[in-house]
Amino acid sequence: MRSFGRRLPMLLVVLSVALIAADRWASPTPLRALGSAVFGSLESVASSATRWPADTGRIERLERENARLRAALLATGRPSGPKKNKHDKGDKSPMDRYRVVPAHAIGFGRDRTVTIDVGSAAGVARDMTVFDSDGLIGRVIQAGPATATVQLITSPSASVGARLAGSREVGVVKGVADHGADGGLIRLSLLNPEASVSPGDHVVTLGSPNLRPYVPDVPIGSVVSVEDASGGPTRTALVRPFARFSALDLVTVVLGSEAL
Amino acid sequence: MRAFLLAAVFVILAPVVQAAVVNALPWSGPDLVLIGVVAFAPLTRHGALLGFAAGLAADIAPPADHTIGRHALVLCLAGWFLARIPPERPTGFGTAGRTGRTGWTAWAGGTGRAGFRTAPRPVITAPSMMAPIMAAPVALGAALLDALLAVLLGDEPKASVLASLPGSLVWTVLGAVAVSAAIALLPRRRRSPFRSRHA
Repeated sequence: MRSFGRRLPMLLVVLSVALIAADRWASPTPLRALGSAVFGSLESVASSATRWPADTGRIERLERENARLRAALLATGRPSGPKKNKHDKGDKSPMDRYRVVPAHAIGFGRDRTVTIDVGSAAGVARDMTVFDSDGLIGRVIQAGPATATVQLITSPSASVGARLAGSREVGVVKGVADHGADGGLIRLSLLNPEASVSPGDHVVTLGSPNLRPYVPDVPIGSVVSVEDASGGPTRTALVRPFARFSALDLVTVVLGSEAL
Repeated sequence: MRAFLLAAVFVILAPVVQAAVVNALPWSGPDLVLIGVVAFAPLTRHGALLGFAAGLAADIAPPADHTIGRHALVLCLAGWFLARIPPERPTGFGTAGRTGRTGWTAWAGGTGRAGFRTAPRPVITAPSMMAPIMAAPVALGAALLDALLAVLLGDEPKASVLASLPGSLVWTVLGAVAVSAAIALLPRRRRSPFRSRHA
């Protein structure tokens, strides 16, 4: 027993290194699923408990919003939110054509990831778009049984195909690693170095084939400053996301197209 | 048994509280799992096991997305190191003959495993005043090693790690010192049952 006790730390170190190696070269799905089932469920419970006092007020607010949207629907023939009609091209709002599932943000990571309380049981899978009533949140990077992990668009490793809402110039939006003065901002790189972009321009998603990882025309944010990149291969600008990542609550996951 | 249950509760709840409460705060908060391991490992002989379990829990608890095993490795090493801090030299427990060799001198002067071999230690040991003193460098070292591994394993870009490191270091080191000092200053009678039974 004592010799086992002495050897145990060494064994655990070796086991940790083996886990790291396994994660590098193989898929650690069972462990992640276990984490989602055990810790995700507990996060769900903790989050419900903290939400409970606020829920009464929320129902009232949602009923009012529902009534307002129904009125708008009757008046115009289609729903229109305060944000959406600014960037909508044509007659479709992002919600119209998709099968979606609502979710709560229940856990927050240190590396710009968020847990939501729906998982593969609700049809959520990797690379699905997540947005809220303000704008794009990110994409699902792992789906466990009861919870899923979403990578925020502000994550330095996130990269979203985007276009300017007005000129339809195409580019890529990436998270900014620096937390300092640019905290919460993301960087837009337009492929056309001659593209005209000015503060206040709105940025929307470009969209991907099969709607994954991103569906088209979801509002991302508005340009706050254009960076001076004379001679660079791309034109870059800093964008403030519409979504408020410090106050995430209700989000929407796009499961797929309505037609499927 | 009670110690085991407490450790299990800590291992399961710490990542949940971290994700659901601490990280939801608008400012960068402390790393509860690291603080807990640094504070509790000196109390037990199985610091490495505690660190490994807590680290693995933090690795797989959503929304963690980094390489599984990274925290397990770092916290296993930190727990192993801290569990080797000898218990406070007890006076009046009638164990003077044995503790003479397991004291701080044996631990510091011995070569590596000497401190382990000299005497069997109870599963729960009284915290020594060494624990809060060692807490700061160990927490600092563990956080730095974790950041280094994050960059080496490609979990996070270097710029992002460097940007968030100072804030999390301050929180975590201060938290580790505060919690382990609080444990070391707990009234003596709360610890005596453990010692008198084993010693």
